[in-house]
Amino acid sequence: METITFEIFFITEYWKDPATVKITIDDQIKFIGPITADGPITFTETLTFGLHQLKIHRTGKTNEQVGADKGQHVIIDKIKIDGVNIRDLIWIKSYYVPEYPEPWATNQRDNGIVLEEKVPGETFLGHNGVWNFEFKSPFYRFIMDWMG
Amino acid sequence: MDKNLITKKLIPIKDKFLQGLKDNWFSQPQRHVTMQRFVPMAEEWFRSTKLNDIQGWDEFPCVDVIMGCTHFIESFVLKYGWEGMQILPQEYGYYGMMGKFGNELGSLEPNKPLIISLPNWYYADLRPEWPDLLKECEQKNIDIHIDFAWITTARDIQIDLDHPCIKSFAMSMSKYSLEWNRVGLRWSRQRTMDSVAVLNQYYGEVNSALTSCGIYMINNIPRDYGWNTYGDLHFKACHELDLTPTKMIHVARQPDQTVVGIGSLLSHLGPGQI
Repeated sequence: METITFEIFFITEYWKDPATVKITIDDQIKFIGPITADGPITFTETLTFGLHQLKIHRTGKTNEQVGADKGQHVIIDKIKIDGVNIRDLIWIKSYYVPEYPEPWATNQRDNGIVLEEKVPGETFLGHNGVWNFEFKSPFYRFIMDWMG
Repeated sequence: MDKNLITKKLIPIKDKFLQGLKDNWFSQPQRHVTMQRFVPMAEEWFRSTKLNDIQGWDEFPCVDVIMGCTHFIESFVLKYGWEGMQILPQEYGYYGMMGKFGNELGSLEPNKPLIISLPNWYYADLRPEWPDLLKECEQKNIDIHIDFAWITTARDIQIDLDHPCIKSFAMSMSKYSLEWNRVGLRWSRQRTMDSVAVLNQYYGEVNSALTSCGIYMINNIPRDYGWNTYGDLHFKACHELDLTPTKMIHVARQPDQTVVGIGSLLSHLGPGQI
């Protein structure tokens, strides 16, 4: 087992209500709450050696949060795990599963626009949805394996 | 006793025996020694001190080869940054040269890892505030990393490393006149991604001149060589020169309580001499 610190830096944009995020590791909630200001959410987790899932559930987006030139977004600015900025891993190994709102989604599809079910490397969480990142512990070994 | 051999700088023992080992090493054919073979032998050597009581080794199962304790420090600083770590006052001069200065006990910054050298040059011992430091680090969630660079020169050091705040420590052979090689080990509770881990675990091999020489020195230098060889002379020199003995073989204390180096003096008096 190892004890690892996670630092997830958010940028938040809203005019009415902020987005809410729930951060889980292996479906255990590590943080839940509105992202009212830019900055990090930090927590420590003891992990058994093996595969793990980090998820960020983004909620709170309703049609009334969206105006003509204003909206509600939350952006994953940076993630540091055990002190390592995993930017390159996010680009390659993470994906976002958006929940497209109606009637917007139907209109898009009717116009021939294909809405991706899984968006690789997406860190701009405009729609509600779940951001996913799979990693292994020990984390240093996971990074080294990825380096090849 | 030549008082002129007392130095302001704390120079380790550098005698004919140690110099002879260096000469032999360079004049004789040597075997390649892998890191995998070196680590357990070196660990046994460091742990075999009879003059110090160091407990808790087994809580640090991740052992890596380092090129001296300064390498341990640099790997640490590379990970956390000069602003992301802290030290206490009266630390290793390297920090001051890099513009890093100490935080007083009681004013340590929460959540910011601390690196500390033990035994400390200024006290020639553990720091007297060690128990209070552990308490403050516990209260402020401060990880402690110990630089044991001078431990091979010490006696009567009692420390239990099994404290939750202590995350890693390092020792090297440099102070046995091996500053030209600097082989050492770092022990960690768990590995983290840093320069030492990359060298040892990613490349899977370190500079084998380092480990080959390390084995040669381990086989030839008894772990407590300094005190076992120069202990009596240390006390005799202190008695004759109005100095106070300390726990570090090459360090004595003057009447004004400042420390001075007697390594050169002992090297001139000891077995084999310079």
